Amino acid sequence: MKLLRERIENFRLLKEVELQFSTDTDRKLSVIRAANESGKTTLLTALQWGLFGDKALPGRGKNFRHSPLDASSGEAKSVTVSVEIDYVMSDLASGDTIYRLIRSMTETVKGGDWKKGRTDVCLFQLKLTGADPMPNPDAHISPYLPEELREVFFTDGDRALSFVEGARDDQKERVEGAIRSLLGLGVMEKAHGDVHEVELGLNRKIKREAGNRNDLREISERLVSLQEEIPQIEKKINSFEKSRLRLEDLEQEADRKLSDALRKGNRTELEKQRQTAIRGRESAEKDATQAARDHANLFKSEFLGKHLLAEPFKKAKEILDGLHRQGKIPSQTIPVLEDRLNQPTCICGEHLDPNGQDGQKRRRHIQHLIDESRNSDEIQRKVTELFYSAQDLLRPVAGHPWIDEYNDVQARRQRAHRRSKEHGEAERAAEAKIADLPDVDIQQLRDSRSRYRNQHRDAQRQEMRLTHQLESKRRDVKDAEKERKKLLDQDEQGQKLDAELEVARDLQDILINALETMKTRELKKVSDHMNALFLEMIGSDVSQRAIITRAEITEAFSIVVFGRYDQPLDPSQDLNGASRRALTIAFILALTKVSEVEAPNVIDTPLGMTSGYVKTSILKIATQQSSQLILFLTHDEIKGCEEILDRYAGRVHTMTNPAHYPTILVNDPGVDDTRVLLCACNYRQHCEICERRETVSLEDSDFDTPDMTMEA
Amino acid sequence: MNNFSSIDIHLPDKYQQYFQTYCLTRVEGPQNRPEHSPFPRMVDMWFLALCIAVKEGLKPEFKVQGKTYKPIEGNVFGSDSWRSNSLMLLAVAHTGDVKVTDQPREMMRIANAYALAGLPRLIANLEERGNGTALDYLSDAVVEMIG
Repeated sequence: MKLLRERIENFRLLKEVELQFSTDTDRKLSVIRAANESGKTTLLTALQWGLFGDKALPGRGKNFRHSPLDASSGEAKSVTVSVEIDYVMSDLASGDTIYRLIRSMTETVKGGDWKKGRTDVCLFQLKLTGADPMPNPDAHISPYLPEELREVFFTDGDRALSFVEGARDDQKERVEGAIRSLLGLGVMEKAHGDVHEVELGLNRKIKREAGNRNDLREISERLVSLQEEIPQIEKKINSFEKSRLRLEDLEQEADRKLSDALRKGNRTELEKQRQTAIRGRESAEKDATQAARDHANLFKSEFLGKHLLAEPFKKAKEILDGLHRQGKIPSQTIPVLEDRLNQPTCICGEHLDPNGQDGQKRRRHIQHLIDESRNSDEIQRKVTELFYSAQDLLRPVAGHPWIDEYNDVQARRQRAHRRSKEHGEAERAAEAKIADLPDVDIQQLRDSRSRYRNQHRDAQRQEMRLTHQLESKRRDVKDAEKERKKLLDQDEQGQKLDAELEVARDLQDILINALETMKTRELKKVSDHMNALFLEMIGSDVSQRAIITRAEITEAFSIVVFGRYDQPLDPSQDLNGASRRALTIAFILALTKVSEVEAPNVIDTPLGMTSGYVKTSILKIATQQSSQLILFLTHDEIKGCEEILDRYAGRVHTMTNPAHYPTILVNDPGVDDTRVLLCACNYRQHCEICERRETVSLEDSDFDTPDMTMEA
Repeated sequence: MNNFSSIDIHLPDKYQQYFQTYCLTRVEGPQNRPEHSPFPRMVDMWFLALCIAVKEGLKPEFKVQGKTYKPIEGNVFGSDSWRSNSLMLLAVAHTGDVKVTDQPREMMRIANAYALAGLPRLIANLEERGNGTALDYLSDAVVEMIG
């Protein structure tokens, strides 16, 4: 199936739009160029509504207004909304057949209120002779484009990311849903269930008709019971598996939150660090102050005085030394005379015997001399005292002791300041971390993680226990079937029933094998194809030590990515935006390729968050892999891809929102109402309608994030 | 023995504010830090001014003009005998006569004359410190003087 044309009337912003799509096998790409808020998403919605009806609308169309918001200024008015789609079906037998699907409805609108009318849908086969109405239009489309595949074939770049982003059980469910729909697994599983029911029915029949054969009745009863039990166990396993995945996600999320919080810091621990830093700073400040006081004390040091007063001290020393040399200082008379009074003889050699008359006389004379000296020279005494007490001052200073002390104290001050600064920085850092801390209770996070971990392990244990139980039951079934066969073979009626059972079992085996094949071989095909496309899109060369080495879809329907040394990466966290987008588009393309469903891939904004190599390679590969590719691209997405578009684009339209005048658009489109205008300009052209200013606002830049990881 | 115990030092009023700024004993509040007020006591500032005058060969200023005040009492020299001796040695050197040692007032007059000669230089130095601390700026000047 390929789309040829779409005509839209009164579908919200799209009041009158007609688009042609390329069906050229060499130029499979159709491009709708449009800035943000220029109707791309509305166009995607209108196309899906046209093909699938209200169930394709957001909220299944329950509160969805189809008609333009400005359709009525106040008076009640009927507005007919219609989407007309021409498509072509090709098969070898009848060649190309063209159909026209028209879906329309009438809405009664009054200002902001609206009331839905009935929706009509009709299908025509277009022939040279005219248009033949076709019965049951929805049933006609369904085999070629099943509703359950709608989101695979009609998607927007952001929504497609849900295959690899978000909660893992949701991801898995979406991936599984897409794969099951595309590979028809649901149909096969239903057939498997039906055959199982037949087998159960036969078992019940054997039980009924066993008559007095207790052994056969018992074995049949056991088999019925086992066959009833097994699906219940399978259901439980499935449920536990889902719980396990969800709990694993929750555990990981709690662990991530805890790690984040711990990276930012534990409040108690940070407070302790802050207090230590404060104490350290205060101690350093105290040391700095003490060092500064010691420094100040240097200005009253004796060394400094000696240095600065060296000149007068020298002069004074010369004077005092002169007096000393002259014997005037120290005044030795008194000590010498006093000394003699303690001796038996005088300096002159005469005796000083205090008992003799001469001795007494001489002693009185000496005492008189002592008294006379004492009274005579107070000045001499002071000078003598100065001479002796100032000896330290008068001694020349060796080296520069003051400068040495100054250097020491200065170094102490610097050390203390450095310590104070370091502790101050540590204090401020701790304060900043505390201020930055989310209001998170670390212990609570630990408890959450621990709770999820226990629940996760519990679910894992239950799953394992049930899986073991299931295997055991299956073995029991096999044994019981062998036993029953022996018993049935004992009479003709039994042989007949056994033959029927044999057929049911064979069918069951065929279906199980087919399902297994689809689940393994076909799934592997999708997985391998997705991996090849993905690696090519991101330019990952495994031989060149690429960061991402492979991607695969597991049997449990999860998309996983591996890095170097086969290290598993979480696509939602470890891949950048461009790689995630490449992975989802590779998945969609691989699915459509393996399913061999020939239908258009319509993707809105597929290149957001991409740039450079990844951007152009996604575009190139998507075009090559699709049977028909319709892309809605912004101007920024187109930037850098012009050469690829030159090569592959068969049809290009530009949609413009006149409301962007004058901020983005150069010319006044002269439109008063709210609508999107269409022109035939391609990605290199502009006309009076779509011409844009050189510099456009951020709003129009798609907020693209350059692909940092892969291009680095 | 303190020869100067009963002799107080008188200085012109104009120096009062500087002694209040640069001497820790006179400063209160957050500015009471050695970095800002490098002299523990006023006698330390006075004595350093005297030393600077001697070292720089400044002419002693015996004339005290204008109003004076008494920032320092003589008994302060009782706790620093080397300072008391220094003043005596300075007086002996200045007069060339040891008789001056028996005249404490004269010795103090000579010492104060040197201090008065050195104070303008010391104050100018402290006031020129710009963004530096008084303690460090003065230290640099002293290192330069004795280095």
